[in-house]
Amino acid sequence: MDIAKYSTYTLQDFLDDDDFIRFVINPSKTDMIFWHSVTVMYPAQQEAVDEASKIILAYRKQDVFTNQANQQKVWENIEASIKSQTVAKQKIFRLNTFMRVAAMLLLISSVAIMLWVLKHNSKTEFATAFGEVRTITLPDNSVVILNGNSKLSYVNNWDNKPREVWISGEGFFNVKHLNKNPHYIRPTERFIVHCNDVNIEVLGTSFNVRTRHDKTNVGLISGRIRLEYLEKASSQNQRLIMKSGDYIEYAQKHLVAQKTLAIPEKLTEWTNHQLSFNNATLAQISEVMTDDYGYHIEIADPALANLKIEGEISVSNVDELLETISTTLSVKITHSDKNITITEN
Amino acid sequence: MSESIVSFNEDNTAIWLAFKAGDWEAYKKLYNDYFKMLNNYGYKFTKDVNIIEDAVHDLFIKLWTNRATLGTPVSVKNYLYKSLRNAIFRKMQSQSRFVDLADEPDYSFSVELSFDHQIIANEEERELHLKLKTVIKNLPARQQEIIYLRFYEGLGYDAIADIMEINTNSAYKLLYKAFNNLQAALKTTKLVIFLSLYSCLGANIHTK
Repeated sequence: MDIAKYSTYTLQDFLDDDDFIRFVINPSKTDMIFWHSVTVMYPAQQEAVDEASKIILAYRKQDVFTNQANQQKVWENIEASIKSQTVAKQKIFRLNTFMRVAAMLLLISSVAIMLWVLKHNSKTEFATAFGEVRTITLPDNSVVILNGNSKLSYVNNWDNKPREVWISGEGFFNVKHLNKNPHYIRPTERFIVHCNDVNIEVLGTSFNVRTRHDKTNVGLISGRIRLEYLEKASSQNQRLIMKSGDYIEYAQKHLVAQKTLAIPEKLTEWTNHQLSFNNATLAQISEVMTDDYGYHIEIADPALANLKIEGEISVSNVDELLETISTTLSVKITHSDKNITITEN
Repeated sequence: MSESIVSFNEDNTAIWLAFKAGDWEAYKKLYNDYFKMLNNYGYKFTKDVNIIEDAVHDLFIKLWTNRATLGTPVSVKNYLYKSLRNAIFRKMQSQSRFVDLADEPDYSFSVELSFDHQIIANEEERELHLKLKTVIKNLPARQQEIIYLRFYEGLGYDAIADIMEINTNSAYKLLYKAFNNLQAALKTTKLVIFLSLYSCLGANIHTK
């Protein structure tokens, strides 16, 4: 410390001197010796030194607010805040990271699922009205002729897996043959028709399927098909190979009839809007008219229902059919709109 | 109570670094070391203890939360003072119904000089004290604050400028103004002091 400069110091200079202030506030031994020597060397400065220190000391005599009583309480609050903050912060942080990943995964997976669903699970469905016969071309160019009041559906994507369709009602299938090597059948070459409890697996063939009221009949016009059906007796799936002309009837989970038709093509006459029956009872005929054409048929006496028309009928419309019935069975048929009442003559 | 709670030659750098590294005990020590000082300083701005405690609370929460990104201040105390000052201003501003649009908030700063007969030995000193009390009371807040930081906390201009968020030149000017006001008011007392000193000196000589 330069002692000489203090020889000319004024009161204000002392008040503004860092070293002097430190000496007054918090004197060290060196400070005390130094400032004593200042006053010894420059006695004229004694007054200023004293006054400056008095002012500072007087000023420093002031009320002190330590708030010591609350020191612990405030600390506890800080501690509590930090703890809750840490927990909250970690939670948010984890949530953020987690959420980011989760959101991304969710987005990716939902898009993937959506695309997959769109591609794989979206279905095409056809339904025909009563009396309507519609020809449908499937994605593999197989053709299905759908009878009235029938439904056909399939999952849109047929890539790398068997062609599968679901049917209720009646349909005539003309399945395109994809298989080239009969010893090796690829899954994609198979064609499966699902109806009720019967699955019809084919490679390429034409057949008729009618499945209504828990009853299914399948008639094979050409080719070979493998039938798989649930047999009630064994409650196991049974398999049956059908060849051209084979015809089966399946009802109430039971194979009811199995025969070979002389002219299986007759099964498909409906595709030409022909109503054809062979040795059919009135009940069977009215069932077809109800199911395929949407008529409400009332047979007054249950005994009438068992009346059978011997031989074949093949007519092109309902009026003709009714005409045939009334003449051959000698029953009275009243016909208004879609309501038909059959009474004894 | 008039005992000084201000510490000098403080070197808490080691503790500060430990605290920054996440040492809870070091953090707690900082709190306990500075709590009283901070309350004392805060009390100059407001007599509302809740505001001070809230500001101290917030200040320490912020310290802990941001510990990793904080620098190492030259003086921990100055850093805390500056932070507390800002925290209190924010609290007071949010409490007042009117939003203060001025950059520098219009604040009050008051020091309560003790008036204790036991401590103040003689009449002259008592008069000086009274005078000082009156003078200080009438100084603008900023002049009062700079005097407090200078004479009570013993801070240099750089530290004062930092805490009060003004530049060092402004700090010089501000203290100069405060001194002028102080001296003008003390002029009359000066003579009294001189006389008393003289008599003291005379007494000393006499006893020798």
